[in-house]
Amino acid sequence: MNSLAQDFRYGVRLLFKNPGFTFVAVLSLALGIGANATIFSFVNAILLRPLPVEEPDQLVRLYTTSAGSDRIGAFSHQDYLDIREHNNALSGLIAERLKPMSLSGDGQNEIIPGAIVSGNYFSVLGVQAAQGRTFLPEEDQTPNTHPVAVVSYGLWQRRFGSDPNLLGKTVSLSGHGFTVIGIAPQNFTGTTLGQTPDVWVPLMMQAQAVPGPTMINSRDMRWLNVTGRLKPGVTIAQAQSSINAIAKQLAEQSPKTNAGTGVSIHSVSNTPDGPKKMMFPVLGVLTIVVGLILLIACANIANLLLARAAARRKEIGIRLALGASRVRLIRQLLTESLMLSVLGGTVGLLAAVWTPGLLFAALKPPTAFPIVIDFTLDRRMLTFTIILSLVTGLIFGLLPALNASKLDLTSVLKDEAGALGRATRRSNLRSVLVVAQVTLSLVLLISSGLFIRSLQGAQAINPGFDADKLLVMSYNVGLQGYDEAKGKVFNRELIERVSNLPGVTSASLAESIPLGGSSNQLKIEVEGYQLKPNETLSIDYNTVGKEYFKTMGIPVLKGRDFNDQDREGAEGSVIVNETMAKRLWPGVDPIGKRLKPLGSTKPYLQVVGVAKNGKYRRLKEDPLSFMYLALDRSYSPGVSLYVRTAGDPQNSLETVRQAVQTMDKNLPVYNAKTMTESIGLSLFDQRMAATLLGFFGLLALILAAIGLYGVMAYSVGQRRRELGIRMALGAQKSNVLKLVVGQGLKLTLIGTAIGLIAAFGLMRLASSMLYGVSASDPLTFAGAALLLVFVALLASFIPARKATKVDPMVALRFQ
Amino acid sequence: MSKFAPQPLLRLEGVKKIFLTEEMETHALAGIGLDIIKGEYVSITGPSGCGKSTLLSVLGLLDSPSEGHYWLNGKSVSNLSASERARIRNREIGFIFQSFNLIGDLNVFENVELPLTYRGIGGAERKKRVNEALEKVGMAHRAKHLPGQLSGGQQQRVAVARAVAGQPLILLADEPTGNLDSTNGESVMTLLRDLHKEGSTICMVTHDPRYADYADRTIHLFDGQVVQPEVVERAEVA
Repeated sequence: MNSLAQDFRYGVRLLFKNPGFTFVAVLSLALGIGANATIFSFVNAILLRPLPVEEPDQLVRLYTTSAGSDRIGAFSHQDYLDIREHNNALSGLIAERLKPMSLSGDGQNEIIPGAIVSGNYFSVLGVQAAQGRTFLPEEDQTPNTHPVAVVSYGLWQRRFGSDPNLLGKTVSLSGHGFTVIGIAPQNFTGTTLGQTPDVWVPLMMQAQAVPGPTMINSRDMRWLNVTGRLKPGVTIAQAQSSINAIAKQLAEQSPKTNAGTGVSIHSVSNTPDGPKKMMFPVLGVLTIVVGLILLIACANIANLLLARAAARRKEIGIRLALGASRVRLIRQLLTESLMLSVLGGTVGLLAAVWTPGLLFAALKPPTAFPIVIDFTLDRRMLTFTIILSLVTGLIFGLLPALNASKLDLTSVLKDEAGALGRATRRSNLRSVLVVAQVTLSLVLLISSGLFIRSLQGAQAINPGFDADKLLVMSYNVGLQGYDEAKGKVFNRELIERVSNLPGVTSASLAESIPLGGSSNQLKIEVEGYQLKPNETLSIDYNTVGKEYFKTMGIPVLKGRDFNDQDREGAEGSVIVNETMAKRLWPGVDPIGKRLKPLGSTKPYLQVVGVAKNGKYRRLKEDPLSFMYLALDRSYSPGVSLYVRTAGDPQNSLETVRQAVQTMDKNLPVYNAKTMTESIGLSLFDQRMAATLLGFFGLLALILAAIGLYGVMAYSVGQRRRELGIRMALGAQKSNVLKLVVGQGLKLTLIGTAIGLIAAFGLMRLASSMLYGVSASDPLTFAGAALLLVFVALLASFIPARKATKVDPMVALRFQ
Repeated sequence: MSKFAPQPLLRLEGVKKIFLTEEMETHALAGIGLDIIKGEYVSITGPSGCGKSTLLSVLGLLDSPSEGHYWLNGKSVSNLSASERARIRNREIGFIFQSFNLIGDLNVFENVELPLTYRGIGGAERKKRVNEALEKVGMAHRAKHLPGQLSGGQQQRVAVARAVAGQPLILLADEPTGNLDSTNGESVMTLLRDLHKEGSTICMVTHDPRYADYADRTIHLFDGQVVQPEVVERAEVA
């Protein structure tokens, strides 16, 4: 311990003695370790951290499945109740639906993320209220009888100023009074990562919390997300088998709604529709990328340490002569390396505490409510960074330590320039490290280039509508207590008012936003259509207003747009897209064909138009069957307003918002943005990958340039005498410049060649994540290589210029 | 070894050191035989390139002989591993170099303490021995100074203190006055003589006849061999 303390003291002294070296080393390490800690922070928060509930490993998410389709979906209230009552694998089953709710009071109206949950929600999750209580069983037995609410800790702090007397008070949710009975714990974020409700109300209060038709006790409206807790000792496979039997029974009992409907069960930590699924490939690539960055940083420090070891040959020789064993000396050198890595790791960790939140905020996922992810430093993150720092210290320290402790003692102690062979080997090792850095940097540059080009490719995809000069904003008159008649009048008057605003060319309404992250599906039956075995017609749809196609810029290829003919009382109409027309009526004119919701007793809807195909769920999806229903016949209180402008839509955003609020100053408007911004959601993963990879590619380039500069500068320092002799013998400055730059260029070109081959092999693995660009895109490969060579030339040029300033007289006298 | 002769502290028999390069073999030591008795003060002298420093490196276990045998304190040390050589260097040999070889980042006390640290001696004992060694060379008052703050003569005194602090069997001095002016040179030689009087065994390499005369015995080297003084003189005349 005593000698370790001595090594430590000496290490501290060296850190202060060479502040320049310490700064560059700690900075490189902080960047490398910080980048890794930052990405690990994402991995930790998104992939590893369990839900803040009791025994999260026991929780499973249930989905409905449809025969002949790979889509998964939600549950009807009746199905949920049946599965809850009759299964023997789950100790509890909860149902919930996140919905925007309007919170009014004290002159403030805002839309907040709310959750309609089954009465057993908190008890099954094992979550106790921080203050007050959670729901009682009787509060979720009968519709509209128990207007009670639990508010989130965040909302209690933000909106109610941590009012200690909030419990028992009544707040207005969607125009109805709800009594606050509890405040959720601070760390409770709900059951879906990133989507933290601000308020929870009992399921039986659905019609009040989210005004509109009641969906309670229905079997055909699938709107509830269902989560269960496995009984102790029960596996997911056993639960699946138990619930399959119930699904089969339900299909037999209610064939109209449940024929072909199954249930699939997944652990909540690995759901097929969760952010984990979306983020896993991106985080996987980023983890590899930051690992490579750290290796580049390690190569940098190893190079610096080799240079320092050369300067410390005498000291090391003396220690060996005085009887230090090689192991003892390696331990001392490693102690110094570990001190550097721990310092770098500390700075990196501090950076990683802040950067994930800042990066996430900068990337701005364009969702209706902010995605909240907890990046707080926890024990896992701390352990990761400590281990990473120590391993890093060993990686970059071991080679120089082994190298430095192997000396020809006699010549070193006699101050002889000898041991040239050893010096050459060391210099070769430094060159190998530079080549490795250039190789890794080029791989990173190429990967970031490909992802940036992929993002450009995805941005160039035609969404099927004209997103330029188009605005969108959402409101829900139901949340203000409007009934259907009043809501329809409001919608009609709003369209009239907005259409007459200066700079507006047309306006329309629709229930959902294309590429907005959610979609509606309806099971239909088609007159005269023979279903194939196991085929169900679950069709994505949107309910849209008059002039929707004109406003959105969607070409109607046959028939007509919705117009005044499509009001209530008239014959129902529907517009289908090209894919749906081809699927249901191949080779036949679809105009005049008829369809209706499966099992509906209402008259058939007639196809009045065929619209051009578009993108509905994701930009990169294959052509999808899609249909449009008329909003005037299928009322929805929550809609989005689309406005086509003559000029920059951003300039009209405030005018249109004011027009809405002139009609009802208390009506909260949300999601107000240009359509181009709105489409951003479907490109979020691509944009995130391109932004982060671009950033890390740049970082790699800088680290490689520092590495090359360091080697060249050191080499020039070592060769001062040789360069002096050359100049004394008549070498011109240009000869010296060529000599030094040539040495750097040679290393760069070797690294570039290896990097191109490595990237060619590696990027094929990422080809499934790229869009519109080949994994071996020659332009990206050539561009990245040229950029790297250019930067490397610059890094070599600075020491080369210094070399031309060597004074032969001074150099020849120099010892 | 003779049955009746006193046991030498250090014995070399037929020691050769051959340096191999791509083009040629250089015989730096060409069959050296040498005994040094405990308490003896021996100087090794000879012209440049005669193998003095190579011999001292072999004696100090900084290098190993290509051929021949070497016994130190009766134990063969010709073919030891690097770590065993390091252990013997640390415990049984004290070095004094021409260029002092103090570590610039350590102060005087720490420099003298270093070999004791490698030996694993406890803190209190180290402190006692370092202070004694510094007292002996008259440098106790500069214990907190860095080598760069001392004159050449003072640095060499510290180097002598470092060599004696571990109470080695033998002190090996390689041109200890080579980097000093005559006043400081004399002072260091006086210090070595005093140490010898107190019982230290010393083997010193020097090319200066004035300093060689401080020793009890002088060994003359020429072309890697021990020769009579006349051989060296003839060579110098020629």
